[in-house]
Amino acid sequence: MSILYWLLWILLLFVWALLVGGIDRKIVAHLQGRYGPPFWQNITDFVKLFYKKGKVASRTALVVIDVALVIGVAAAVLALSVLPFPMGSGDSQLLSASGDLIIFAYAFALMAMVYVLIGFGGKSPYTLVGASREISMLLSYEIPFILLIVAMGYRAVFITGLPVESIFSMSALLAAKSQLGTLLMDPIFLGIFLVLLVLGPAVVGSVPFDIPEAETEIVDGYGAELHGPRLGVLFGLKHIKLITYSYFLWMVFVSPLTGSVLLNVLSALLGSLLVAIVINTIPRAVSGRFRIDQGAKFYLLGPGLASLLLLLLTLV
Amino acid sequence: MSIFKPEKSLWIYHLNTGSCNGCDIEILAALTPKYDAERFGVKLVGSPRHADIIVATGPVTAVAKESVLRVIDQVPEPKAIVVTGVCGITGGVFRGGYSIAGPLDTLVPVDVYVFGCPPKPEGIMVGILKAAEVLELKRKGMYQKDVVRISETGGVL
Repeated sequence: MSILYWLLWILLLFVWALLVGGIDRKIVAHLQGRYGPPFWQNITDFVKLFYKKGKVASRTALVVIDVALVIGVAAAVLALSVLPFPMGSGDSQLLSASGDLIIFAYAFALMAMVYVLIGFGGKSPYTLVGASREISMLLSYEIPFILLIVAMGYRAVFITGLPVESIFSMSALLAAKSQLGTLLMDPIFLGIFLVLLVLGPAVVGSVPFDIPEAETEIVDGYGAELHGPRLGVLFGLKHIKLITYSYFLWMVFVSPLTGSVLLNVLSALLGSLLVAIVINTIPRAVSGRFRIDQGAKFYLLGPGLASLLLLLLTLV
Repeated sequence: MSIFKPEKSLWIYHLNTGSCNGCDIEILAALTPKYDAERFGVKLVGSPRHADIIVATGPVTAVAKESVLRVIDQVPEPKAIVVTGVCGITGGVFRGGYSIAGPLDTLVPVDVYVFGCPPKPEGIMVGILKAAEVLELKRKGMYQKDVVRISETGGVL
């Protein structure tokens, strides 16, 4: 029963991810004084791509691209399976193990590696440049991301007093959340949350850190050779990555616990929309794209040093 | 339902085949906040493989001919081609010139002509929306190979 409920939930979350993409376009349009597309536009875009049939360039390694897309979908499902989902009174996980926080971080790195594989599979100069830029971005934001995950694990064990085996487990974080009401009450967790928000645009690949897929410079980067259903899967994967990250930040740090399933579901959907607006829409509306060296330097010097400091504070 | 109708999502690829840039400026004007083509689901894409509609400008120069044909070949089916400006339709002032290999309709089948030198953004938007109707006919297998002619202000000729 629980797995059926969870499958329904990720299906709903996927449709919500596409809707969030549309709402994002609508908000940016209104900020620029335009009317903008309907908020369901990204669902139409997604469906349309499955009607298209095109020719594949002879140099393209389709096997690599197909394997990468399958890995991407699997990584997204894996990330969602260890995240809490609203069920009954409180949060529960489909898969729970000691170390599932590490699995979550790994799934995110895997999703970035999928873009790299797609780029190398395309074998066009544009896709290769996109893939190499994605690797540079991955190296710059992954270091602070992992440091923050480690800091979160230590802090949760410190607050709850759970045995050290439960370090890096999502259940320890949820226990700390139910103890504090919301994790933002703790200054260290508040710092971690803010740095994770700053990491957001790079993790989900949105402006100003959509450097690997810069349309105007390298014709959509790693995805330039994709078309039709394969492009549709990549389009869906980008949306699911955004919603998974927003959902992670909302459910683990903020989400208030209520007794009603309906209220929990509503809070999860609206909360992830709110976080998605903060990490995706607002930077996109107010900023242009950075160069790759600016992006890498920013993440290593800003969030990199901040995450190191937070980790040291956690250990002290 | 219009949510699931593929023709409500129009990704356009802007193809310059040797134009003087007059029409290109007007195409970009159609995407700016004043005209806001995105409200019809129009999005400018960087790669021809992502596109549904090619918006072509210019008389197709001899140097550009091979690249133009390759780019058009890369666009997945169903696709529609909108030729913008008189140079793309007849060759304009460049017609018969030694360096001209076009106009485009002598090389590939074209679906919509937008007249003008350059056409206004309204005309280009009507052209794109007519191309969406062509896409729907092509998807349903009812396409009759009729060329739609649009005036520079957006009237159907």
